Amino acid sequence: MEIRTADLQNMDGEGAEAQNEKILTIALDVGEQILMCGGEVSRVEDTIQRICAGYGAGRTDVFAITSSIVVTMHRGGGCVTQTRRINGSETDFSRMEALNALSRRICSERPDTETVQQELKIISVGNRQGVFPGLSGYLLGSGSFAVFFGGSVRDGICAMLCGILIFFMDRRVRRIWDSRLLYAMLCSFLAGVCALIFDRMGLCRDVDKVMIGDIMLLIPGIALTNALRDLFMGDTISGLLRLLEALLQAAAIACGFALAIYLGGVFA
Amino acid sequence: MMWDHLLQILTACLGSLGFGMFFHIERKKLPIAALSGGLTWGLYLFCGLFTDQIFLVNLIASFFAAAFAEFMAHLFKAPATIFTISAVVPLVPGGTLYYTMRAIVERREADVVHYGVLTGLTAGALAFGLLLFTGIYHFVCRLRKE
Repeated sequence: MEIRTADLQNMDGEGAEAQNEKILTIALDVGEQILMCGGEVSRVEDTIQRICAGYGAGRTDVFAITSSIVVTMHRGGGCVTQTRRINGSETDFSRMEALNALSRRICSERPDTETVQQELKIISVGNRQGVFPGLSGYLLGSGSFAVFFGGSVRDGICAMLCGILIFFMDRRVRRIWDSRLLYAMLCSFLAGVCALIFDRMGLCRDVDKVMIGDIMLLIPGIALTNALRDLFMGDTISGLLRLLEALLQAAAIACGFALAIYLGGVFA
Repeated sequence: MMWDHLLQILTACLGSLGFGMFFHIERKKLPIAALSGGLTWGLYLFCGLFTDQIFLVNLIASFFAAAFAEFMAHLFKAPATIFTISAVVPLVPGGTLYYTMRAIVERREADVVHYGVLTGLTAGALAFGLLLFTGIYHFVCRLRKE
Protein backbone atom coordinates (compact mmCIF):
# COMPACT_ATOMS: atom_id res chain seq x y z
CA MET A 1 0.00 0.00 0.00
CA GLU A 2 1.27 3.49 -0.79
CA ILE A 3 2.31 5.69 2.10
CA ARG A 4 0.56 9.03 2.37
CA THR A 5 3.10 11.42 3.89
CA ALA A 6 0.54 14.20 4.16
CA ASP A 7 -1.48 12.05 6.58
CA LEU A 8 1.49 11.44 8.77
CA GLN A 9 2.03 15.08 9.55
CA ASN A 10 -1.52 16.38 9.63
CA MET A 11 -2.23 16.11 13.34
CA ASP A 12 -0.54 19.05 15.08
CA GLY A 13 2.61 18.27 13.20
CA GLU A 14 3.30 15.28 15.41
CA GLY A 15 6.01 12.84 14.56
CA ALA A 16 4.97 9.74 12.71
CA GLU A 17 6.11 7.57 15.59
CA ALA A 18 3.85 9.18 18.21
CA GLN A 19 0.94 9.12 15.84
CA ASN A 20 1.42 5.46 15.06
CA GLU A 21 1.31 4.72 18.77
CA LYS A 22 -1.92 6.66 19.14
CA ILE A 23 -3.60 4.88 16.28
CA LEU A 24 -2.56 1.51 17.58
CA THR A 25 -3.82 2.43 21.04
CA ILE A 26 -7.34 3.22 19.86
CA ALA A 27 -7.41 0.13 17.66
CA LEU A 28 -6.51 -1.92 20.73
CA ASP A 29 -9.05 -0.07 22.86
CA VAL A 30 -11.81 -1.02 20.47
CA GLY A 31 -10.55 -4.60 20.23
CA GLU A 32 -10.27 -4.91 23.99
CA GLN A 33 -13.81 -3.72 24.53
CA ILE A 34 -15.24 -6.05 21.90
CA LEU A 35 -13.47 -8.99 23.52
CA MET A 36 -14.71 -7.94 26.96
CA CYS A 37 -18.36 -7.72 25.95
CA GLY A 38 -18.36 -11.19 24.46
CA GLY A 39 -17.16 -10.92 20.85
CA GLU A 40 -15.42 -13.79 19.08
CA VAL A 41 -11.66 -13.70 18.70
CA SER A 42 -11.88 -13.65 14.92
CA ARG A 43 -14.10 -10.57 15.11
CA VAL A 44 -11.58 -8.79 17.33
CA GLU A 45 -8.67 -9.59 15.03
CA ASP A 46 -10.65 -8.52 12.00
CA THR A 47 -11.74 -5.23 13.60
CA ILE A 48 -8.23 -4.24 14.67
CA GLN A 49 -6.90 -5.06 11.23
CA ARG A 50 -9.57 -2.95 9.57
CA ILE A 51 -9.05 0.05 11.84
CA CYS A 52 -5.29 0.04 11.26
CA ALA A 53 -5.78 -0.33 7.52
CA GLY A 54 -8.33 2.49 7.67
CA TYR A 55 -5.64 4.78 9.06
CA GLY A 56 -3.28 3.76 6.30
CA ALA A 57 -1.26 0.94 7.78
CA GLY A 58 0.55 -1.15 5.22
CA ARG A 59 0.61 -4.35 7.18
CA THR A 60 -0.91 -5.32 10.50
CA ASP A 61 -0.30 -8.55 12.38
CA VAL A 62 -2.84 -9.29 15.09
CA PHE A 63 -2.86 -12.18 17.46
CA ALA A 64 -5.67 -12.35 19.98
CA ILE A 65 -6.71 -14.90 22.55
CA THR A 66 -9.41 -14.45 25.16
CA SER A 67 -7.00 -12.96 27.70
CA SER A 68 -4.53 -11.02 25.56
CA ILE A 69 -4.06 -9.11 22.31
CA VAL A 70 -0.77 -8.53 20.50
CA VAL A 71 -0.57 -6.20 17.50
CA THR A 72 2.27 -5.04 15.30
CA MET A 73 1.45 -2.32 12.80
CA HIS A 74 3.60 -1.15 9.91
CA ARG A 75 2.76 2.36 8.85
CA GLY A 76 4.67 5.04 7.04
CA GLY A 77 8.04 3.35 7.24
CA GLY A 78 7.73 2.94 11.02
CA CYS A 79 6.61 -0.10 12.93
CA VAL A 80 4.99 -0.26 16.37
CA THR A 81 3.94 -3.09 18.66
CA GLN A 82 1.61 -3.05 21.63
CA THR A 83 0.14 -5.76 23.78
CA ARG A 84 -2.89 -5.73 25.99
CA ARG A 85 -3.90 -7.98 28.84
CA ILE A 86 -7.66 -8.57 28.97
CA ASN A 87 -9.29 -9.15 32.32
CA GLY A 88 -12.81 -10.33 32.88
CA SER A 89 -15.74 -10.21 30.55
CA GLU A 90 -19.45 -9.70 30.70
CA THR A 91 -21.63 -10.34 27.68
CA ASP A 92 -23.24 -7.09 26.57
CA PHE A 93 -24.59 -7.05 23.06
CA SER A 94 -25.72 -3.43 22.94
CA ARG A 95 -22.15 -2.38 23.68
CA MET A 96 -20.81 -4.76 21.09
CA GLU A 97 -23.12 -3.27 18.51
CA ALA A 98 -22.07 0.26 19.40
CA LEU A 99 -18.43 -0.76 19.06
CA ASN A 100 -19.14 -2.41 15.75
CA ALA A 101 -20.78 0.76 14.46
CA LEU A 102 -17.88 2.84 15.75
CA SER A 103 -15.28 0.69 14.01
CA ARG A 104 -17.21 0.91 10.75
CA ARG A 105 -17.24 4.69 11.10
CA ILE A 106 -13.54 4.79 11.86
CA CYS A 107 -12.85 2.91 8.65
CA SER A 108 -15.03 5.09 6.48
CA GLU A 109 -14.54 8.57 7.99
CA ARG A 110 -11.15 8.28 9.71
CA PRO A 111 -11.90 10.68 12.60
CA ASP A 112 -8.89 11.84 14.64
CA THR A 113 -7.82 9.79 17.62
CA GLU A 114 -9.18 12.17 20.28
CA THR A 115 -12.71 11.94 18.89
CA VAL A 116 -12.55 8.17 18.87
CA GLN A 117 -11.24 8.08 22.41
CA GLN A 118 -14.14 10.23 23.60
CA GLU A 119 -16.71 8.04 21.88
CA LEU A 120 -15.12 4.94 23.36
CA LYS A 121 -15.45 6.46 26.80
CA ILE A 122 -19.14 7.13 26.19
CA ILE A 123 -19.69 3.57 25.02
CA SER A 124 -17.89 1.98 27.96
CA VAL A 125 -19.60 4.10 30.60
CA GLY A 126 -23.00 4.95 29.18
CA ASN A 127 -26.05 2.80 28.71
CA ARG A 128 -25.87 1.07 32.08
CA GLN A 129 -28.99 -0.96 32.48
CA GLY A 130 -31.35 0.02 35.28
CA VAL A 131 -32.48 -2.50 37.89
CA PHE A 132 -35.83 -3.20 36.32
CA PRO A 133 -34.90 -4.25 32.75
CA GLY A 134 -31.97 -6.25 34.10
CA LEU A 135 -34.09 -8.02 36.66
CA SER A 136 -36.89 -8.79 34.23
CA GLY A 137 -34.37 -10.58 32.01
CA TYR A 138 -33.43 -12.87 34.88
CA LEU A 139 -37.06 -13.40 35.85
CA LEU A 140 -38.19 -14.24 32.33
CA GLY A 141 -35.19 -16.46 31.67
CA SER A 142 -35.45 -18.58 34.81
CA GLY A 143 -39.25 -18.68 35.02
CA SER A 144 -39.96 -19.60 31.45
CA PHE A 145 -37.27 -22.26 31.25
CA ALA A 146 -38.55 -23.92 34.42
CA VAL A 147 -41.91 -24.25 32.66
CA PHE A 148 -40.25 -25.04 29.33
CA PHE A 149 -38.54 -28.12 30.77
CA GLY A 150 -41.85 -29.44 32.06
CA GLY A 151 -42.49 -27.60 35.30
CA SER A 152 -45.81 -26.16 36.44
CA VAL A 153 -46.51 -22.46 36.71
CA ARG A 154 -45.81 -22.65 40.43
CA ASP A 155 -42.36 -24.09 39.70
CA GLY A 156 -41.80 -21.21 37.31
CA ILE A 157 -42.62 -18.68 40.00
CA CYS A 158 -40.27 -20.38 42.47
CA ALA A 159 -37.51 -20.35 39.83
CA MET A 160 -38.17 -16.64 39.38
CA LEU A 161 -37.73 -16.05 43.10
CA CYS A 162 -34.37 -17.85 42.98
CA GLY A 163 -33.62 -15.81 39.85
CA ILE A 164 -33.99 -12.61 41.90
CA LEU A 165 -31.33 -13.95 44.26
CA ILE A 166 -28.98 -14.68 41.33
CA PHE A 167 -29.63 -11.22 39.92
CA PHE A 168 -28.56 -9.47 43.10
CA MET A 169 -25.56 -11.77 43.43
CA ASP A 170 -24.51 -10.87 39.88
CA ARG A 171 -24.98 -7.20 40.56
CA ARG A 172 -23.38 -6.85 43.96
CA VAL A 173 -21.13 -9.80 44.74
CA ARG A 174 -19.68 -10.76 41.36
CA ARG A 175 -17.37 -7.75 41.03
CA ILE A 176 -15.75 -8.17 44.42
CA TRP A 177 -15.37 -11.95 44.12
CA ASP A 178 -12.00 -12.94 42.67
CA SER A 179 -12.45 -16.51 41.53
CA ARG A 180 -15.10 -16.92 38.86
CA LEU A 181 -15.35 -20.63 39.50
CA LEU A 182 -15.95 -20.23 43.21
CA TYR A 183 -18.47 -17.52 42.43
CA ALA A 184 -20.40 -19.82 40.07
CA MET A 185 -20.35 -22.50 42.74
CA LEU A 186 -21.57 -20.14 45.46
CA CYS A 187 -24.32 -18.80 43.23
CA SER A 188 -25.63 -22.22 42.27
CA PHE A 189 -25.34 -23.44 45.86
CA LEU A 190 -27.45 -20.55 47.14
CA ALA A 191 -29.98 -20.99 44.35
CA GLY A 192 -30.14 -24.71 45.12
CA VAL A 193 -30.69 -24.09 48.85
CA CYS A 194 -33.34 -21.54 47.99
CA ALA A 195 -35.14 -24.03 45.74
CA LEU A 196 -34.98 -26.74 48.40
CA ILE A 197 -36.45 -24.36 50.98
CA PHE A 198 -39.33 -23.60 48.62
CA ASP A 199 -39.79 -27.32 48.17
CA ARG A 200 -39.91 -27.91 51.93
CA MET A 201 -42.46 -25.12 52.29
CA GLY A 202 -44.55 -26.85 49.65
CA LEU A 203 -44.45 -23.92 47.25
CA CYS A 204 -43.30 -25.86 44.20
CA ARG A 205 -44.42 -29.14 42.71
CA ASP A 206 -41.16 -30.39 41.20
CA VAL A 207 -37.97 -29.01 42.69
CA ASP A 208 -35.89 -30.41 39.78
CA LYS A 209 -37.60 -28.04 37.36
CA VAL A 210 -37.00 -25.05 39.61
CA MET A 211 -33.29 -25.83 39.69
CA ILE A 212 -33.15 -26.40 35.92
CA GLY A 213 -34.69 -22.97 35.37
CA ASP A 214 -31.95 -21.40 37.46
CA ILE A 215 -29.21 -23.53 35.89
CA MET A 216 -30.12 -22.02 32.54
CA LEU A 217 -29.20 -18.59 33.92
CA LEU A 218 -25.81 -19.75 35.12
CA ILE A 219 -24.82 -22.25 32.43
CA PRO A 220 -21.95 -21.09 30.19
CA GLY A 221 -23.78 -22.09 27.01
CA ILE A 222 -22.56 -19.07 25.09
CA ALA A 223 -18.96 -19.58 26.20
CA LEU A 224 -19.17 -23.22 25.14
CA THR A 225 -20.63 -22.37 21.76
CA ASN A 226 -18.02 -19.67 21.18
CA ALA A 227 -15.31 -22.08 22.27
CA LEU A 228 -16.30 -24.74 19.76
CA ARG A 229 -16.68 -22.13 17.07
CA ASP A 230 -13.18 -20.78 17.73
CA LEU A 231 -11.81 -24.30 17.67
CA PHE A 232 -13.37 -25.15 14.34
CA MET A 233 -12.34 -21.85 12.80
CA GLY A 234 -8.70 -22.57 13.56
CA ASP A 235 -8.25 -20.32 16.61
CA THR A 236 -7.12 -23.37 18.53
CA ILE A 237 -5.61 -21.71 21.59
CA SER A 238 -8.57 -19.41 22.26
CA GLY A 239 -10.91 -22.31 21.61
CA LEU A 240 -9.16 -24.55 24.11
CA LEU A 241 -8.98 -21.77 26.70
CA ARG A 242 -12.65 -21.00 26.37
CA LEU A 243 -13.62 -24.68 26.27
CA LEU A 244 -11.73 -25.44 29.47
CA GLU A 245 -13.19 -22.35 31.13
CA ALA A 246 -16.73 -23.31 30.11
CA LEU A 247 -16.36 -26.94 31.20
CA LEU A 248 -14.91 -25.93 34.56
CA GLN A 249 -17.72 -23.47 35.04
CA ALA A 250 -20.32 -26.11 34.21
CA ALA A 251 -18.62 -28.43 36.70
CA ALA A 252 -18.61 -25.70 39.36
CA ILE A 253 -22.32 -25.08 38.83
CA ALA A 254 -23.05 -28.79 39.08
CA CYS A 255 -20.97 -28.96 42.28
CA GLY A 256 -22.86 -26.06 43.81
CA PHE A 257 -26.25 -27.63 43.16
CA ALA A 258 -24.96 -31.06 44.20
CA LEU A 259 -23.78 -29.60 47.51
CA ALA A 260 -27.21 -28.10 48.10
CA ILE A 261 -28.89 -31.43 47.33
CA TYR A 262 -26.50 -33.28 49.66
CA LEU A 263 -27.28 -30.86 52.44
CA GLY A 264 -30.98 -31.20 51.69
CA GLY A 265 -30.56 -34.97 52.07
CA VAL A 266 -28.72 -34.59 55.39
CA PHE A 267 -31.33 -32.32 56.92
CA ALA A 268 -34.31 -34.20 55.52
CA MET B 1 -49.79 -33.35 23.33
CA MET B 2 -50.59 -30.42 21.09
CA TRP B 3 -51.14 -28.14 24.06
CA ASP B 4 -47.82 -29.25 25.53
CA HIS B 5 -45.99 -28.30 22.37
CA LEU B 6 -47.66 -24.91 22.19
CA LEU B 7 -46.73 -24.21 25.79
CA GLN B 8 -43.13 -25.18 25.06
CA ILE B 9 -42.96 -22.88 22.04
CA LEU B 10 -44.48 -20.04 24.04
CA THR B 11 -42.06 -20.48 26.93
CA ALA B 12 -39.16 -20.79 24.47
CA CYS B 13 -40.18 -17.37 23.11
CA LEU B 14 -40.34 -15.89 26.59
CA GLY B 15 -37.07 -17.54 27.59
CA SER B 16 -35.28 -16.18 24.53
CA LEU B 17 -36.74 -12.76 25.27
CA GLY B 18 -35.43 -13.04 28.82
CA PHE B 19 -31.97 -13.99 27.61
CA GLY B 20 -32.05 -11.16 25.12
CA MET B 21 -32.55 -8.78 28.02
CA PHE B 22 -29.99 -10.72 30.04
CA PHE B 23 -27.39 -10.00 27.35
CA HIS B 24 -28.48 -6.38 26.85
CA ILE B 25 -29.85 -6.65 23.32
CA GLU B 26 -31.22 -3.35 22.10
CA ARG B 27 -34.92 -2.93 22.82
CA LYS B 28 -36.19 -2.79 19.25
CA LYS B 29 -34.49 -6.10 18.48
CA LEU B 30 -35.99 -7.95 21.43
CA PRO B 31 -39.13 -9.12 19.55
CA ILE B 32 -36.85 -10.72 16.95
CA ALA B 33 -34.94 -12.49 19.72
CA ALA B 34 -38.18 -13.88 21.13
CA LEU B 35 -39.43 -14.92 17.70
CA SER B 36 -36.19 -16.67 16.82
CA GLY B 37 -36.26 -18.76 20.01
CA GLY B 38 -39.85 -19.83 19.35
CA LEU B 39 -39.19 -20.66 15.69
CA THR B 40 -36.09 -22.69 16.55
CA TRP B 41 -37.97 -24.73 19.11
CA GLY B 42 -40.94 -25.12 16.78
CA LEU B 43 -38.64 -26.57 14.13
CA TYR B 44 -37.05 -28.82 16.74
CA LEU B 45 -40.45 -30.21 17.70
CA PHE B 46 -41.47 -30.57 14.06
CA CYS B 47 -38.33 -32.54 13.21
CA GLY B 48 -38.91 -34.62 16.32
CA LEU B 49 -42.08 -35.95 14.70
CA PHE B 50 -40.07 -37.70 12.00
CA THR B 51 -37.00 -38.96 13.80
CA ASP B 52 -35.84 -39.56 17.35
CA GLN B 53 -32.17 -38.96 16.58
CA ILE B 54 -31.34 -36.27 19.14
CA PHE B 55 -28.16 -35.26 17.35
CA LEU B 56 -29.81 -34.80 13.99
CA VAL B 57 -32.79 -32.87 15.34
CA ASN B 58 -30.58 -30.48 17.30
CA LEU B 59 -28.31 -30.08 14.31
CA ILE B 60 -31.15 -29.06 12.02
CA ALA B 61 -32.61 -26.68 14.60
CA SER B 62 -29.32 -24.92 15.30
CA PHE B 63 -28.53 -24.73 11.59
CA PHE B 64 -31.85 -23.00 11.10
CA ALA B 65 -31.17 -20.70 14.07
CA ALA B 66 -27.86 -19.62 12.54
CA ALA B 67 -29.47 -19.00 9.15
CA PHE B 68 -32.29 -16.99 10.66
CA ALA B 69 -29.83 -14.95 12.72
CA GLU B 70 -27.69 -14.20 9.69
CA PHE B 71 -30.76 -13.04 7.79
CA MET B 72 -31.83 -10.77 10.66
CA ALA B 73 -28.28 -9.46 10.97
CA HIS B 74 -28.50 -8.36 7.35
CA LEU B 75 -31.85 -6.68 7.92
CA PHE B 76 -30.66 -4.79 10.99
CA LYS B 77 -27.02 -4.35 9.91
CA ALA B 78 -25.80 -5.77 13.21
CA PRO B 79 -23.39 -8.56 14.16
CA ALA B 80 -25.05 -11.95 13.71
CA THR B 81 -23.92 -13.27 17.11
CA ILE B 82 -26.52 -11.07 18.79
CA PHE B 83 -29.34 -12.97 17.15
CA THR B 84 -27.64 -16.36 17.13
CA ILE B 85 -27.30 -16.56 20.89
CA SER B 86 -30.93 -15.82 21.70
CA ALA B 87 -32.10 -18.15 18.92
CA VAL B 88 -30.22 -21.20 20.23
CA VAL B 89 -30.95 -20.67 23.93
CA PRO B 90 -33.85 -23.17 23.98
CA LEU B 91 -31.49 -25.85 22.62
CA VAL B 92 -28.94 -25.44 25.44
CA PRO B 93 -28.98 -28.74 27.38
CA GLY B 94 -29.64 -27.32 30.86
CA GLY B 95 -32.14 -30.04 31.73
CA THR B 96 -29.93 -33.00 30.91
CA LEU B 97 -26.94 -31.36 32.60
CA TYR B 98 -29.01 -31.13 35.77
CA TYR B 99 -30.15 -34.76 35.56
CA THR B 100 -26.54 -35.88 34.97
CA MET B 101 -25.47 -34.03 38.09
CA ARG B 102 -28.39 -35.39 40.08
CA ALA B 103 -27.56 -38.93 38.96
CA ILE B 104 -23.93 -38.44 40.05
CA VAL B 105 -25.04 -37.23 43.48
CA GLU B 106 -27.40 -40.17 43.89
CA ARG B 107 -24.87 -42.71 42.52
CA ARG B 108 -27.01 -43.97 39.65
CA GLU B 109 -24.20 -44.92 37.26
CA ALA B 110 -26.40 -45.97 34.34
CA ASP B 111 -28.24 -42.65 34.44
CA VAL B 112 -24.98 -40.72 34.66
CA VAL B 113 -23.86 -42.24 31.37
CA HIS B 114 -27.29 -41.87 29.77
CA TYR B 115 -27.77 -38.18 30.62
CA GLY B 116 -24.10 -37.33 30.26
CA VAL B 117 -24.06 -38.63 26.70
CA LEU B 118 -27.30 -36.77 25.94
CA THR B 119 -25.81 -33.52 27.25
CA GLY B 120 -22.64 -33.94 25.20
CA LEU B 121 -24.55 -34.90 22.05
CA THR B 122 -26.89 -31.94 22.34
CA ALA B 123 -24.11 -29.43 22.98
CA GLY B 124 -22.04 -30.90 20.15
CA ALA B 125 -24.94 -30.84 17.69
CA LEU B 126 -25.73 -27.26 18.66
CA ALA B 127 -22.21 -26.05 18.00
CA PHE B 128 -21.84 -28.16 14.88
CA GLY B 129 -25.07 -26.82 13.39
CA LEU B 130 -23.94 -23.23 13.88
CA LEU B 131 -20.53 -24.00 12.40
CA LEU B 132 -21.95 -25.82 9.43
CA PHE B 133 -24.03 -22.80 8.53
CA THR B 134 -21.19 -20.33 9.07
CA GLY B 135 -18.89 -22.46 6.95
CA ILE B 136 -21.33 -22.80 4.07
CA TYR B 137 -22.34 -19.14 4.27
CA HIS B 138 -18.78 -17.84 4.10
CA PHE B 139 -18.02 -20.21 1.25
CA VAL B 140 -21.02 -18.98 -0.75
CA CYS B 141 -20.11 -15.34 -0.06
CA ARG B 142 -16.58 -15.88 -1.35
CA LEU B 143 -17.87 -17.78 -4.36
CA ARG B 144 -20.14 -14.90 -5.25
CA LYS B 145 -17.34 -12.37 -4.98
CA GLU B 146 -15.10 -14.27 -7.39
